[in-house]
Amino acid sequence: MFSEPKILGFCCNWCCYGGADTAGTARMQYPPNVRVLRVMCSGRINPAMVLKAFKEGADGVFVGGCHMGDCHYDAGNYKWNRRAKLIEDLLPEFGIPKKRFRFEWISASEGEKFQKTMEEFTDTIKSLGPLHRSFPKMSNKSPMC
Amino acid sequence: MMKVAHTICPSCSVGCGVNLIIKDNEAVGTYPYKRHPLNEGKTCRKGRECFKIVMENRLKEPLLRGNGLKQSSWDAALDAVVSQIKLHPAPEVGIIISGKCTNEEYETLKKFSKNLGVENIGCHTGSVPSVDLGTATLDDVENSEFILIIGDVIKETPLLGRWIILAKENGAEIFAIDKPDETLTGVNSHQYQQVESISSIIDEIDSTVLEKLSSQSTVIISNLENGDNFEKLLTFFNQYDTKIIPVFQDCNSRGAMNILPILSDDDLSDLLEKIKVLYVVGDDPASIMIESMKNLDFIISQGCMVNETTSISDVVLPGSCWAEKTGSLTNTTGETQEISKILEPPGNALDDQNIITKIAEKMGLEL
Amino acid sequence: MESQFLLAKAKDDELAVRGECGGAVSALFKYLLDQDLVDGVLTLTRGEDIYDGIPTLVEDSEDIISTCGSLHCAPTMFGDLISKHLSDMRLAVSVKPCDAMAIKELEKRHQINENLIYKVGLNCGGSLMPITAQKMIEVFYDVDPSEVVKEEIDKGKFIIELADGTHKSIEIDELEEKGFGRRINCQRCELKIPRNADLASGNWGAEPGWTFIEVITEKGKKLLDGAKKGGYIEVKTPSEKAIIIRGKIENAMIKLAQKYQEKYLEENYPNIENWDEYWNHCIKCYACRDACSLCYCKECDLEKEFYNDEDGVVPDPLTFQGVRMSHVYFSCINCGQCEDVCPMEIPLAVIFHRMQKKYRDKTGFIPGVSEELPPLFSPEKE
Ligand SMILES: Cc1cc2nc3c(=O)[nH]c(=O)nc-3n(C[C@H](O)[C@H](O)[C@H](O)COP(=O)(O)OP(=O)(O)OC[C@H]3O[C@@H](n4cnc5c(N)ncnc54)[C@H](O)[C@@H]3O)c2cc1C
Ligand code: SF4
Ligand code: SF4
Ligand code: SF4
Ligand code: FES
Repeated sequence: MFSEPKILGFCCNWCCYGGADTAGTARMQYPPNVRVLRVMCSGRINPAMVLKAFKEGADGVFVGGCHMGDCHYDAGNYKWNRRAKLIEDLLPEFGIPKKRFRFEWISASEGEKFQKTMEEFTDTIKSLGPLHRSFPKMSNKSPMC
Repeated sequence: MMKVAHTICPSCSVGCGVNLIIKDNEAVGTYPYKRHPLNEGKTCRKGRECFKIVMENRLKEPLLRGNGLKQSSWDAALDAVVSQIKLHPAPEVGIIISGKCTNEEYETLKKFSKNLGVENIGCHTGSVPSVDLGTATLDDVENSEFILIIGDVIKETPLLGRWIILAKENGAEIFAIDKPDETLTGVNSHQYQQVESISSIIDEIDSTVLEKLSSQSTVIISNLENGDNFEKLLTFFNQYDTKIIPVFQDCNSRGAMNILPILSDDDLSDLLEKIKVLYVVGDDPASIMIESMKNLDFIISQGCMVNETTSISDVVLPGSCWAEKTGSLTNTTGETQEISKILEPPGNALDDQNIITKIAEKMGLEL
Repeated sequence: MESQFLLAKAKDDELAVRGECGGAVSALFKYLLDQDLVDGVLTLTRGEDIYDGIPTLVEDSEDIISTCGSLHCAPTMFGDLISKHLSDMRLAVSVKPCDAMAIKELEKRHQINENLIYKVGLNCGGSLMPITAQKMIEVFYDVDPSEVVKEEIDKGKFIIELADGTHKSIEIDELEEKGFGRRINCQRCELKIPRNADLASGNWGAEPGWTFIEVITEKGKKLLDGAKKGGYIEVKTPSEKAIIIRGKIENAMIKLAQKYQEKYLEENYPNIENWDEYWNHCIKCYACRDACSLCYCKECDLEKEFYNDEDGVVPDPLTFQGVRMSHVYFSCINCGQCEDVCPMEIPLAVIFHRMQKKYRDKTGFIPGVSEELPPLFSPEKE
């Protein structure tokens, strides 16, 4: 049974990370599998970082930013939104179902939304099972004589 | 002023075509040479960056040792060379050249040594012995049914590796043998056999592999650390009706062995013991056996780059890099390709054949 | 500006004879050099034979004659050659649609200064790899490839001409069916008339000895007017019928390209296992990056510690090709250069082109043609 998926969550400092905080202070339980990584803005995330997370063994990657119009840096989340679409197209080309990647807009006050999103996403990843990648490549070795 | 000109990559023994981009007599980049039948514009990183060799650590002026190495005129440098060679009987003079020079340079140097009566001459190729065998062509590789590879050919000589990939796409079975846990060639083969040491291959090799050797197979032997192994493997596989490609180190190792004696590391150190004056062309023996060179009275170093040997030499003669000369190179499968001069040598550097000829003239020798 | 059609030919007899279709393009180059409107002209000269196209910078108008004629077996790329080595020069350049697309993307990225360059477009039905072309001529035409003095693609046939004047032709479809013919990316290429250049010239709709020119920009129009006034070219108006024929051929070619897109990007698209096998070949030589006009960064992410595989024998495709893809695929012009130069025979343009098509379908962005940068880079809130 696959019970402990590894999920990496990039959360922007001004909204989503606050949401995680709110969830925490209100003692709303969310799955411990999610490792939250604080970034200043979702506009800071580029597709390569998500790819790297999968390479390093994440079973799922989540990105959370401010609601449209609320980005602390004005348009960071618009930029991120456009990049997120690229990632959705890119992942399947490397054998990673796009369901393993999710992004959401969560404000600092939305502790509950944060909790719910994390639960949902964790369930999705659990149902998908661990990410088996065909990398690194091994040769077909003949036994030592 | 910019021009794009054809040449051959000097960085390994495969002999890929590359185009150099030349701006104001400086090589500033490479451009794919898609018309070249061997690599069709594809190269590895060494090939794409070979233009850097043209600029790297170049010798531009003749140097003569006084109180340290000092810039001198060609006349003074050549006079010093000639007087030292004349001062010593022929058996005390040695000449070595690298596998990176042109066939024409080998011929000229061969004549020079013959007329001078010097017998201590050879091309230093490191681990590879002289082989005299008909090797497979690249088309043979592509059309093979079975390919046995010793060494990491795809990684070390990727443009030879490419023909293995093409053969595989054609349905060939690929079997690789090497020492590491994993190799790039191993990963791309149907089977990979890891061995303790290269010398044990003959004993350890899977017998079913040997059954697959036929006129439709090719054995590629590369990346060996010593010449004995290489020779043993060649003799071993020569018993079978299979085609063979030995992968040599330098861009013209194969050409050199058609013309000059080949010196292994051991041969070279023996040679150094016998002589007092050493004339080095395009090579750097000091980088591997500086100790054996301590007894020499006089070292003459000719070449395009500053290296360890030039720094301990008594005379340094600045020569040309491959893109600055006309001649031919013979690649690892025995194919001879022309190169032409597409750049002027820097400073007062000269064409290497020209330098040898000048020395001969001053010695009063006919070439 | 309204598009405008005309037929043109060089007034100089030698250019007219040596040129592909009347030598108008060469005459325009000669005019630009003679009038000191440019410092140099970047075109191709024929090297060893018709399979050997060598990029050449001509600075003396007397030398233009040696660059006349079309080389269909010379899939060169001028975009990065200009941005890396000639960006400070006033230049005129002969461009296939893919050259023009690369140049356009580089202009938008401030790697080429639009004001410094005249882009004289050549219509393009596709180009062939030189060695493939030679094998094809040997096998299908039963001719020694070195005896071919000229080749062209016309009415769906690849036609060769021998020294004695005889011609041999075979349907290009038939050749491509068997894995020969045009490069695979060219088969998929939809931009047949470079309306992203200043002028677009070609033989479609032209009479023998004339080039059909479509004027695209104001700069192109001025160039033509100047060359006409200066006595370099002769022009006339093409018939309505010629214009219609040209349009029909263009449409047929685009339809064919779309059919090939369907074939290579969907029906025969490698599956995940095939890709695994391909990525396995990668020697991390960076040839694909270096050949791609869009990869112009001075410091490349791919060489950063961050993405390096410490001990793997093969780079992880996710953080190697995947990262390069995430940087450029949306702008991929399907020029095929990455695939051409990959020493390990990985069909790179197939994946980049397929991804770009997805992006195009969503955003409408057409690389090398759209005036703006891809919407990805937009600072707007949209
Ligand atoms: C690969 C290719 C495919 C073509 N396909 C078509 C087609 O399907 N339909 C059509 O109407 N026209 C096509 N053309 C254009 C046509 O062949 C003529 O080039 C055009 O009509 C101009 O004729 P001209 O006599 O004025 O050219 P010229 O005066 O002969 O000048 C041609 C110029 O193009 C340069 N050139 C030659 N080969 C290349 C190349 N591979 N890349 C970049 N520059 C090059 C030459 O150096 C020269 O400067 C194609 C051209 C090329 C190069
Ligand atoms: S990619 Fe398009 S424009 Fe470029 S050579 Fe091929 S068909 Fe012509
Ligand atoms: S990714 Fe390949 S096909 Fe696309 S623009 Fe770059 S070199 Fe051309
Ligand atoms: S050119 Fe081919 S082998 Fe080289 S890095 Fe790119 S994909 Fe890998
Ligand atoms: S600060 Fe939250 S998305 Fe920009």
